[in-house]
Amino acid sequence: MPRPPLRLGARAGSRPHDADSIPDDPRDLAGLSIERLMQIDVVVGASKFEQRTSQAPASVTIITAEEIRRYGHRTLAEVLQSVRGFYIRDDRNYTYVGLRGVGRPGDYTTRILVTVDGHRLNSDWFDGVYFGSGAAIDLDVIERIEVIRGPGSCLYGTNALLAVINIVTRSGSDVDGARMAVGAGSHGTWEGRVIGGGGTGGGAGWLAAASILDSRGQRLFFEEFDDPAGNHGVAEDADGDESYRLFASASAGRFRFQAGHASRTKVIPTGSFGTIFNDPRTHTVDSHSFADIQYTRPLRMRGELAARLYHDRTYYHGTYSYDYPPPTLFKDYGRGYMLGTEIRALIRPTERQTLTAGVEHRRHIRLDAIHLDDAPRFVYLDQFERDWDWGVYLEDEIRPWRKVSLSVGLRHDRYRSFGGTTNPRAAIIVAASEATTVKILHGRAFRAPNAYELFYMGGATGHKVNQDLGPEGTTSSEVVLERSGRRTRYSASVFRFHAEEIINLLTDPSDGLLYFDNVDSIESRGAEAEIALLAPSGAEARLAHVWQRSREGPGSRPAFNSPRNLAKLSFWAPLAGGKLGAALQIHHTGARRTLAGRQAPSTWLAHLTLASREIAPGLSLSAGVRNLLDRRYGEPGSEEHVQDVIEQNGRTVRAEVAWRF
Amino acid sequence: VALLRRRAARALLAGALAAWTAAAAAAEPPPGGQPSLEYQVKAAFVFNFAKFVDWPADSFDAATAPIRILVVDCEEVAEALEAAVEGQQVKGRPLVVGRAGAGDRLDDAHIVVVGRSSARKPEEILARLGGAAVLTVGDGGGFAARGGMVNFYTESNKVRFEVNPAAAEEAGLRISAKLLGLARIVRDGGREEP
Repeated sequence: MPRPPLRLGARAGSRPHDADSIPDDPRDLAGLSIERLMQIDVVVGASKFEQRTSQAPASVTIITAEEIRRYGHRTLAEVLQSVRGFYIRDDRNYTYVGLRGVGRPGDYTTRILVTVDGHRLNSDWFDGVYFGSGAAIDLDVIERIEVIRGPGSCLYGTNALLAVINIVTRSGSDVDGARMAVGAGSHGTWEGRVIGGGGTGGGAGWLAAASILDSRGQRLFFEEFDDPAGNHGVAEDADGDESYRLFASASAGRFRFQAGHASRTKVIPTGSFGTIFNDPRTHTVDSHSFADIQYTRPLRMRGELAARLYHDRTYYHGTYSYDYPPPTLFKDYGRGYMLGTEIRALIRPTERQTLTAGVEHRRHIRLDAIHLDDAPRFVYLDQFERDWDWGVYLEDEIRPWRKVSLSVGLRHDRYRSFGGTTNPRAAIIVAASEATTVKILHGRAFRAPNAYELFYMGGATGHKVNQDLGPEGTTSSEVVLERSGRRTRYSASVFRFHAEEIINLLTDPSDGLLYFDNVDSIESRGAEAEIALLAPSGAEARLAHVWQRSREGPGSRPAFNSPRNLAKLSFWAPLAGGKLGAALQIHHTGARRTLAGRQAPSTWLAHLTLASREIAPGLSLSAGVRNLLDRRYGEPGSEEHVQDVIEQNGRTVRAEVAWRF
Repeated sequence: VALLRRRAARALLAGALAAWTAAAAAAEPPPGGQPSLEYQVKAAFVFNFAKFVDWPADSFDAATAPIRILVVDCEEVAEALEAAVEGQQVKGRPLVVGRAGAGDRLDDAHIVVVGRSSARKPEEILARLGGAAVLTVGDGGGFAARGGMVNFYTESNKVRFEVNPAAAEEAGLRISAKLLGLARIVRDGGREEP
């Protein structure tokens, strides 16, 4: 009997910095306006300490809360869709993110690391991150999102292959009060959000937020099921989506605490994994909870010591309706409990050197997998595992000359399952002129096999374990040119990404059992360019284009779900004397190869948002249309789908009212 | 051959390490060291404040008399300020930076910048000023809520400031609406909505 595979779902100091150009000379700094001084913005993610983005050893994009508001983004996937190089694949169950032409089938976005204030969100069970309505963090809680392209394993360990996305949450004093929002949209979508916070100037503060979303979903037609048994291809009431999120943070003195919980239930309309089509009982529940406490104290030599202790829980439960016969519900459970700790020290022995060193240890105290048929009851697998890993890292950044900085980092990780892996990164950053920076980057990164790949075993599941399963390894090189002026910003880069030992599911011809092995490879090359223009009125335009070519496997065939071209155009303008803002986004995704070797056609999609400032004390409104021109388009399906291309939403509208009090 | 290759790799590694150490050693700080960015930004703020504050006419001896800035208890701000104001002018006046010790006069300055530890106990400084027309700027610790005029705080890695307009008014200083618009407004004893 075919079984579904388990589907789980500032430098506070030393040096001038900022997203664009903060001059190096203190006199030039004094020449900046107060508004500008107040905006001096810092990146924490790329080097685990604050620094200006032009000095970060990576190509960095920052998305601020203001941009999220202006463009009306409601999910992380929508945010990333607007960022140079990123593209989305949605199979109407989960949302996956691709970058650098890499978006493999059956991959739950395990090759991008997402952290919230440094706390990793990639699940300890299936390794991926939820980017859609199941995301662990509501966008209202976010102050900014730092997208750091390139390998990050030298600091962060596993998953940081293509990029590290660090979400920085707002502080209580930034929220300073409470805000409530109610929204409604197409396909019976309702949404409610509330956030409150407060704080003192001294750094103590608190923040709490909750949000809920309920969507009836669409009535969908799939021609693959167009027969009387399949309700003539129509999936009714089989696209529902319910989710909620809770988040709280508190800081006092040298301590900072944060915790979050999110849960999502999604009905699957696609008849994936050979389930009965148009049966709304087929659904997945995914939840993730985390808590993180961090202690930071200053050290001598303008250094800093930070220690954190964290806990994560992942829970997945899938219900799949089958008719073997007899009809039964197949139930699938995955649970992970993890405890982790990290100690990190940063010192600056001289004005021109910054040393970062750290140790991290994670203990998977419980990894459960249960697969069973409901009635007649049959347990395929009931398994309990433990696991651990640890890592040590060191990064040194020096400035031998005024205009040149060198950064070298190295991290060694040790896993119970496969042993050790060492991943270095080196960067040369040259400030060619005050506004122009050239970065030459090279590094290695890895992804450790996850619990699903390691432990999914037992004859009844049709799987067997591979004792020799090792990590995936990648090598990336990139040359970045960034130029920022008062009203313009340019960025261009060329990259090469090579991945080896990619884990794939294979069948052993001798016994017919499925097993994972390090067999695949990916080779991507590409070029990116972006221009951002700012008009004196505050209006902005951003144009980005990525050309990439990605090949995979021993036969070096064009990679699955890998568009050659990606274009992003974003325009925003203030209207009615700044009381209102209008944002237009146009996204082009080139044709993508499907599993059947065909092409999911290229698309041009437009999204429009109108958002007001406070029109009456405390009251603001926003409204948006996605897929403005009602284009019909689809995204590649994966191995579990009968559909080679899965149709996506047509035009949808939504509106929202928010009060601040 | 494998042995040779390993030796070559080791030699290369050792060479790279040596070069790195040499480069790190060569990365000497500029003479005198440079204040951290946080203080450079704060110094730039202080310089900007001078543009948005009007002192009573009798505060200056002459039309081109310098704006005197005294720094209490914060060497980093003093250094950053010296670097920032060098050669600069505000409304035709040069700026001079001095440091004030425990017994020094403060009331002949135009701006007094109070370092973090003294800003926590503003009463002593304010008593020494005796209500003179001096812009008082504190580095944290609720300075403005306790009788000071301007106070720095950090929020999400950015330097922000709060202003106590009543305290400035009492001393005969006029702070421009623009500056007030960018500040978080506080009163003696507590905070107020911006």
